[in-house]
Amino acid sequence: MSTHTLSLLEAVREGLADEMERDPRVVLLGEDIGRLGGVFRATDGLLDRFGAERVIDTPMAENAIAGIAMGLAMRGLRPVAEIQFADFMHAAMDHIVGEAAKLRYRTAGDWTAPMVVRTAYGGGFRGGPYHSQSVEAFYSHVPGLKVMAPSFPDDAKGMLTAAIRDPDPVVFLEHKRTYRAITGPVPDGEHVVADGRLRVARPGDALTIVGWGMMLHEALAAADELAGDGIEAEVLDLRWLLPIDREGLLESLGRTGRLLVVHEDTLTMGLGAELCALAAEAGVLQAPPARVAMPDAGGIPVADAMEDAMLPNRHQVVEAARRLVSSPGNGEVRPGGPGRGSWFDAAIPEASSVIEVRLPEVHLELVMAAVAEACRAVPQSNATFTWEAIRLHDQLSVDLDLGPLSPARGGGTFTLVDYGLGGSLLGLPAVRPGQTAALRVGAVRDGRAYVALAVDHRAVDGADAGRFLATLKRCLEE
Amino acid sequence: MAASTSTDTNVEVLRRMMLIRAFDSLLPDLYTRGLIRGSSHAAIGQEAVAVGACAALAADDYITSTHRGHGHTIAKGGDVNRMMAELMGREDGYCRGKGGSMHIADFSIGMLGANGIVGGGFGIAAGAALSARLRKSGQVALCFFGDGAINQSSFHGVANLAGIWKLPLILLCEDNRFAMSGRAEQMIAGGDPVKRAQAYGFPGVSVDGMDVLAVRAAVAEARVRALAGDGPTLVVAACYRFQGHFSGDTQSYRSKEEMAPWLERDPIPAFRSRLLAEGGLTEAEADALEEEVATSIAEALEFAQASPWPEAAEAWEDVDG
Ligand SMILES: Cc1ncc(C[n+]2csc(CCOP(=O)(O)OP(=O)(O)O)c2C)c(N)n1
Ligand SMILES: [Mg+2]
Repeated sequence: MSTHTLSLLEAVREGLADEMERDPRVVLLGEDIGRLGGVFRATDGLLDRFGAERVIDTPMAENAIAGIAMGLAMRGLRPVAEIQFADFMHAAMDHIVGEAAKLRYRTAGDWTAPMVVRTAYGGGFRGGPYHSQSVEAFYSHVPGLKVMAPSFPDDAKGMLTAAIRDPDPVVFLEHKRTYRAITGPVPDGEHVVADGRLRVARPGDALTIVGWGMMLHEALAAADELAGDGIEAEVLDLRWLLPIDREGLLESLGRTGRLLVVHEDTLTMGLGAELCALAAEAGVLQAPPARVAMPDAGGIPVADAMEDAMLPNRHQVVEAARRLVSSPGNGEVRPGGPGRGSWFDAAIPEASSVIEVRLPEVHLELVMAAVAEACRAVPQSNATFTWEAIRLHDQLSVDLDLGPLSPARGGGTFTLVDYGLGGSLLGLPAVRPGQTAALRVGAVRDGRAYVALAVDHRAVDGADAGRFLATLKRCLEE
Repeated sequence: MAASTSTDTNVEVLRRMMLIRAFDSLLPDLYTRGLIRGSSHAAIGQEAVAVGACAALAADDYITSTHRGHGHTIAKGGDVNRMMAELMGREDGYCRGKGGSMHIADFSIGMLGANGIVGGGFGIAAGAALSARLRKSGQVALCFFGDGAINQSSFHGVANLAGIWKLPLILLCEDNRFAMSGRAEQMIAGGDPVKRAQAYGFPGVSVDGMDVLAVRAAVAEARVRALAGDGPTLVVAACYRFQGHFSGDTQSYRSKEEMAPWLERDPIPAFRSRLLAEGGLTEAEADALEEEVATSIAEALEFAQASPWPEAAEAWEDVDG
């Protein structure tokens, strides 16, 4: 199939133009879409090509724009309305949600409203509280609507074409940061993506990450980084937000058992909640699902530091994914057997050694400080093993495992078991996947305790382990 | 010359117009240098409307502003230091960096907020006017809005209820002939927006928005009416947006020939010449004014750039009460 390369914005424009060419019923309406070509230039040149009867500049009246689109749609035209920013959709919601979404149902199928409302959503360009919102959750809650949010140029064109041909009202969400940042191949000629299915943007089997719009691209970047650690994430481009491709989601989760949803819309009542619920109801999850989303704040601030802190990003996705893959699976017997998702990894060739230390009483701070010192002395004990390389971590993050009632939370780079609180004198800890070492401190008796170190022998050899324990002992006894 | 703080004097009226001009003239440069982010809209050419209207208000009267709000804020007595800091997203900005240009508000001077939503101010102004009535405070509210905003349904909803309730409200339409690329004559049914007042049963007044004293007089009259319990007035000030709607606006929707006569009627030199001619201002005083304004702006820039960036963690503050 031959293709040409377009930015997402150009793909939207091409989709509009091709469909206007093909179908004389298609008309565009919105503020500044004609002579100006739209605030983002999505309709640039279309006025000259198709004339003022089909590229209609409206007064500033979002409510009327949506209403008029509905009236046009009910009487044989195929309107595509543009609302400049998703933040201005609220005024149009009256007609979209209150009227258009209900038309087919309330007329028992006699009438439909084949209209598209396109809008630019999302933050990341210092637009401030009224020019940065994501609105997908509002509309995805409404039966009778379809909600689409493409992440790639080919889908922007193909799905927009499908939206225009759809017999029902479609809210078409274009992430404004993807407009120019995302370019890609678009098939030549007629291109329609009408299957309603999600898109596997990257195959994998360790966990499933779901996103759309700009967050999909953050998820892909995160997946690249995770692959460096040997974690192959499957990244799903949801793209059809309503209805959701439930089968596609469950198919992936059936293989991975782990779900991470990323969205730029706020967390509470966001689409992530629905996806997690679908997965939970289907019983396909092996671990509690996770969400990375915009915090529940009243808007996106304009100042760099605050906006950057609020927008979900690839680092948060990486961190959440690491935590998710190292979290214990549902119903696993601990210490677990081999197999994907299990707490312990039978594939790690472990070695252990034990020493005795003088320890008058146990202080977590004391033990932590000693672990930190020992990890500094032996950096490969705070690392991740992959067959390509041993990745040393800049930061030490200790997971505390205090037994079945308080297991390790995961996400750390080193595991500390019991640290002397338990009753048993000697026990050997197990190295958790993604880490190279774990330490257990036995019960303190007569001012003495046994300390056991377990290591991934591929990363830490016997001499290293000896140095680790020697450093630890010195710190604890000082 | 000491900076006076009230617009009782014509010199202060001129100074505020000049300050708005100087402030908004900085925007393109600040934008190019990456010092301000997001969009901001200059009120250049429209200074007489903002200053004339606010000069007719009492200090505790309310205004609501628009996406093009710097002029309104300065006219009402806003602090250019804090405005500049907000534009730059700094800690000492009016919204501590959360809002930017289109969200500046200063309740201490009755400035109830710029608004990134066009038409967002109608309801707020009407509510503030009703509150003044219920609290018997003797205040009025003035709503600035554009020729584009008058086509929002919120205008019509509010005009109707302000009419039936005779609210102490002044609806001040800055008719600068354009809503982005939309020409007023093509977008406003009935042609002249002032006719809309008639439909809602209150007076509509047309005024030359390039003449600051004419604007002041029209608003002063509307204010008397509002305080007497006679209800709202629609004041339509004819003016012109001298610059593009946003930075990089090619302005393909208007011609140089069309702009020329408006540019010639620049309200600031006009008022300055008038004061000089009538003896209200000497050349020396005029020069001193220039210098004073330049100093204020330089100080504002310095203040804003010296102001710290907000901590990222502040993004999580003020989410709920
Ligand atoms: C509800 C809403 N719709 C659209 C916009 C985008 N927009 C910003 S300013 C503007 C034009 C406003 O025209 P007017 O009211 O005449 O004010 P002016 O810009 O001329 O001062 C538009 C369309 C917006 N900010 N809010
Ligand atoms: Mg205007």
